[in-house]
Amino acid sequence: MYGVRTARYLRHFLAVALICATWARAQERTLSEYQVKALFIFNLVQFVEWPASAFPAPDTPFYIGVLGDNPFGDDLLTAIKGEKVGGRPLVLVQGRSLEAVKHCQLLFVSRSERARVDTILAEYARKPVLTLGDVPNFAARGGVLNFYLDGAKVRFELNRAAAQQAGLKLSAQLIRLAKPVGSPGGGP
Amino acid sequence: MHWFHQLPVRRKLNWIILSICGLVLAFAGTAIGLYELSAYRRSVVVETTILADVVAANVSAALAFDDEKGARVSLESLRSDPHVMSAALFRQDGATLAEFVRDGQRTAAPPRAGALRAEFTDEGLVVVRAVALNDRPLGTIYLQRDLRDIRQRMLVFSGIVALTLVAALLVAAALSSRLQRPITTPILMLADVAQDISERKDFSVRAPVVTGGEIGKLTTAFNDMLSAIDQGRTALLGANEQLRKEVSERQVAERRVTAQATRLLQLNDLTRAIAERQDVESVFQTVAGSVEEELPVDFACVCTYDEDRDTLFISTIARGSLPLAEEMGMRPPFAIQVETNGLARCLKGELVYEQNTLTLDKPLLLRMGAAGLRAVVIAPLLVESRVFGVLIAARREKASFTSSDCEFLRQLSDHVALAAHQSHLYTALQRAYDDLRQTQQAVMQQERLRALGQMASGIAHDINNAISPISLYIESMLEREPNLTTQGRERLTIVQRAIDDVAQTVARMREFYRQRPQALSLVRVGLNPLIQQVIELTKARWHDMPQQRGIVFELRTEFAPDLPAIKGVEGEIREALTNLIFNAVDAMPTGGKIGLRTFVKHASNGTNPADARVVIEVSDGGGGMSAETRRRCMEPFFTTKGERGSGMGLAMVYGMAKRHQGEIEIESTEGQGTSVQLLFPLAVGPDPFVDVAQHRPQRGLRLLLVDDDPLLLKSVSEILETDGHQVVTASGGQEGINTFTDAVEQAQFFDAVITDLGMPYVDGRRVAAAVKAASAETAVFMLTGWGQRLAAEGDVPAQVDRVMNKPPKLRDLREVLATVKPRPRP
Repeated sequence: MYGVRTARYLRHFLAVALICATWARAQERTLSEYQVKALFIFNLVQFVEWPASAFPAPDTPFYIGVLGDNPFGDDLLTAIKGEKVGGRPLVLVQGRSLEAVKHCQLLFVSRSERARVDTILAEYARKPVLTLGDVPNFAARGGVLNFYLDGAKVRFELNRAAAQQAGLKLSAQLIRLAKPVGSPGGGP
Repeated sequence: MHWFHQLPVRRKLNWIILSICGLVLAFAGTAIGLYELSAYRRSVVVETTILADVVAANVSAALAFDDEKGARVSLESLRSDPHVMSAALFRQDGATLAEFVRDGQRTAAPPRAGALRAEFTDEGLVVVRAVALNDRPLGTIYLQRDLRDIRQRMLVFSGIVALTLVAALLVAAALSSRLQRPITTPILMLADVAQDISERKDFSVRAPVVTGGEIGKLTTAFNDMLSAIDQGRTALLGANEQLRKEVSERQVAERRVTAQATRLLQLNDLTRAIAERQDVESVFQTVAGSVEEELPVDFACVCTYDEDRDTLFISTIARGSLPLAEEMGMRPPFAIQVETNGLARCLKGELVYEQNTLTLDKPLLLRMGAAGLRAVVIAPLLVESRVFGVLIAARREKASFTSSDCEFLRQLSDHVALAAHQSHLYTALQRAYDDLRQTQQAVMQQERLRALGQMASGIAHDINNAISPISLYIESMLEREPNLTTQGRERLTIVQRAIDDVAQTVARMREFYRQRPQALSLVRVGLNPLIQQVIELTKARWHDMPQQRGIVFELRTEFAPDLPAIKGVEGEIREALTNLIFNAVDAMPTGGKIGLRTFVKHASNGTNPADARVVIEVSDGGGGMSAETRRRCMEPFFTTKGERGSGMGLAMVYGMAKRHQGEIEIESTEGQGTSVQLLFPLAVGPDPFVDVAQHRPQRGLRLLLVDDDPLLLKSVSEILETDGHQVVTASGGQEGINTFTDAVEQAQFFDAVITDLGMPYVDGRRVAAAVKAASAETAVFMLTGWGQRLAAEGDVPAQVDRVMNKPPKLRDLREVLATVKPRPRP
C-alpha cells in the first residue's frame, strides 16, 4: 500500500518536473540574447541612482536611448512599456545621431556604432548618463557598462571611474556582479 | 487509593498538601514553559524571516541579472548563522538559481520553492520569502532553520522547573508537618482515647479538653458522647441482665415442657408397646426395659404382690439391671417383706420415693444402697384399687428423681397395671376359650366314639360269645381234671389268662365311651407277679417287633422283695402298666432302657402304715416332655403321637390310680427321659370276698338257658350240668318263652332262667318279661356281651335280677346261682 502510494507520488512529481523543464528550455530558447539584454537594461535602471541634475524637471520622464541600429526590435519597448522608475515613466528614444538621444539618462550604444565609440564617449563624458555598450572594450574605452557574453550568459563589464565621472551611484550588488575594467591611463 | 486510606492522619495531610503544591507548580511550570516555547518560536520565525529578507535584498541583483555565482556567494553568507541548515534561491519561473547546504550534506529533501510561508516542519523551521525589486517579484528565497536551540532551551527550562518543584515541595513538606500539628494532635488524642475505651471498655475515660475552634468543640462533644454512651451502656447492661434472666427462666420452663412432652411421648410409645404384649411377663419386661433405657435409671424391676403372704416377689428385672441384681442377690423370685420395708403405704396405692437409701433403716433400701443405688422410687401397680405389684426404679445419684420423673412413673404404673390386668383377663379368656374348644373336641370325640362303640359292642358281643366256651371249659378243666399234667395245667392257665385279657381288650373297646362302674370289686393284688405278667404280655411290643427293625430295648426290673399287697383290680392295673410300657417304648424310637421298679415309700414324718405307699415306677431314657406337655399329658385325648395315639393312655392310668385311691407322679426332663410313679395305699385287713370255692351249690337247680349261639348254649349247659344242675336249653328267644310257658303249664317250674340279651326277633328283654309275667318268683339272669354297658346306663330291665358279662366265668355263675333259692320240688 505504502509502496503504491510512493510510486504514485513519484510519477506525479516526474510529470511536473518534465513539464517545468520543457517550459524552461522553451523560455531559454525563446529568450534571445537581445531579449535578455532588453530585460537587463530595464533591471539596470533599478540598481543605479542618477544625480538630480540628470532630470531637468521633476516630471521629466526617464529616457532610454538606443544609439545606432536597434537590435532589440520591439523587445525593449515591450520590457519598459508602462513601467516607472522613481515616479518617472520610462520612455524609449532611438536615433542614429547624438542629437536624437541627447536627453537620455541611459544610452545604449549599439554595435553599429563601434566605429565612433570614442566620439560618443567623449561627447558624454562627465554627463549624468549611464552609457551601456554592446561593443567590445566599450567600458575600457570609457563607457560605464558594457554587455559581453560569458558563454551563453549575458554579462556586463563596469568601469567604475567612468561611473563616478558621470555622477552615477551604482548599487553595490551591481558592482559585485559586474566585471570591472579600467580606463586607459587611469586605474579602476 | 486504598493505601491512602490506610495512612495516618499526619501523613495524609502531608500528602494532600504536597500533592496540591506539586500539582500547582507543575501546572504553572507547564504553562510558563508552553508560553516560553511559543514566544521563542515566534521570535525565531521573526528572526528567520528577517534573515531571509536581508538575504533576499542582497541577492535581488543576482536574481535580477541571473547571476548564479553572485547568488551563491550571497547565500554562503548564511553560514555564519549556525542554525541555518540550508537555503536556496529560486527564480520567478521556479528554477533554482543557487543553493546552500550546511556541511555540504543534505539533511532533508531538496527544497522546493512553493508558496511563501513560514512553518515548522520535521526538518525545522522553513521560511520562504519573495525576492522583489521595486515591488517587482524576482523570485523566492528558501531558508531552513534547525530547532536545536529551542529543544535545548526547553530542556534547560524543564530542569529549572523540576528543581524549583523539588525545592518547593521540600519546603512545603517541612512547613506542612509543622503547621498541621494543631489539627492532628487533638484528633490523634481523641483516637487514642477511643481506642483505649474500646480495648478496656472503660467509658469513664475522657479526652483532654482543647479550647477553641472546631477541634475544641469536637473534643467536648466527644466527651459528652462518652458520658451518654456510659449511661446508655449501664442501662443496657441492666436491661440485658434482666433479659437474660427472663430468657433463662423461659428456657427452664421450655425444657420442662419439652421433657414433659418427651415423657408423654415415651409413655405413649410404652403404652403402645405394652398394649401389643399379651402376657404379663412380656409386659413387665417391656416396661422395665423401657424405664431403664428411656427414663433412664440404673436399676428397674417389677414385683408382684402375694396378698396371702404379704410379700412382694421380684418377677422381672430389666436386662441392663441384671448385673446389679446379681450383685444385690435379688434374683427373681426374690421376696421382699412388705411390713419390714415400710412398703405398706405403697401397697395402699401411694408412690414411695426415697431420696437417699442409706439414711433409712430398711433391709431392701440398705441392700440397694450397698450396691450404690441411692434414690429409689417404688410405684404401685393398681387395678380396681387393689395393688397387685410394684414398679421399682433406682438411680445411683441421690435425690436424682425429679417430680416429673415421679409423675411419669406414676402414670406409667397406672398404664402397666391396666395392661397387666388386661393381660390377665386376656389369658383367662384365652384359657376359657381353650377349655371350651377342648370340651367341644371332647364332645365331638365322644360322639364319634359313641358311634364307634355301637359298632364295637356288636363285635364285642360276638367275640364274647365265641370265647365263652373256651373260658368256661378251661376253668372247668382246671377245676375238675386232676389228671392234668403240670405242664398242661400251666399252659391252660396261660390260655385262661389270655382269654381273660381278650375279654378285657374287648371290654376296653367300650371304655372309650362309657364310665366305669363306680364300685369296683377290689381284691388283694400282689404287684410283683402282676408286673411279671405284664412284661410277658407286652413282650411283643418291646422285644419281638422292634427286633425285626434291629432296635433293642433293655428291660430292667428291680422288685422290692416282700412287697405288701394292695387292693385293686388286677385287669385295670395290668392295663395301666401296659400303657406305661407302651409309652416308654414309644418315647424311644431308637431303643434304650426301660426301668420297672417297685418299692415301698414311707411317709416322711411317721411310720403310720396308712401313709405308706407301694410304688411302681416305670422309667425311660426317651425324649421327655415339655412343660406344656407335662401339664396336659393326663388330659383325655391329649396326645403327642399324632394319629397313632388315642390320647387315652395316661388318662386311663390316671383314672385307674384315682379309683385305687392312688396317686400318679410324673417326673420328666426334656431330652432326658420320663419316670412315672404309681403310688397305691397298702391293703389293710383281709380280703372281703369269699373264696370262689365256697359258692359251690349244695344241690342242683332246674335252669332254662336261652341263647342263639349253639356253642355257648352247649358249653354253658355242660358246665352247669357238671355242677349238678338240670339245664334245659332253648336256641332262641321265642323258643325260650315257649319252653318256659310250656313248663309252667306243666307245672315244671324253672328255678332260674339264664338268657342272652341280644338275639334275633325276640331278645333277652322280652324273654325276661315273659318269664316274669309267667312266674314272678323265677330268677332271671341276663348273660350278655353288653352287660356292663347295661349296668352303666341303668338300662337293666326291671325283670332281670342280675346281669352277667360274657364270657361267663364259672365262679361268677356259681356266685349268681348261689343266690337262687331252689323251689321246693313237687
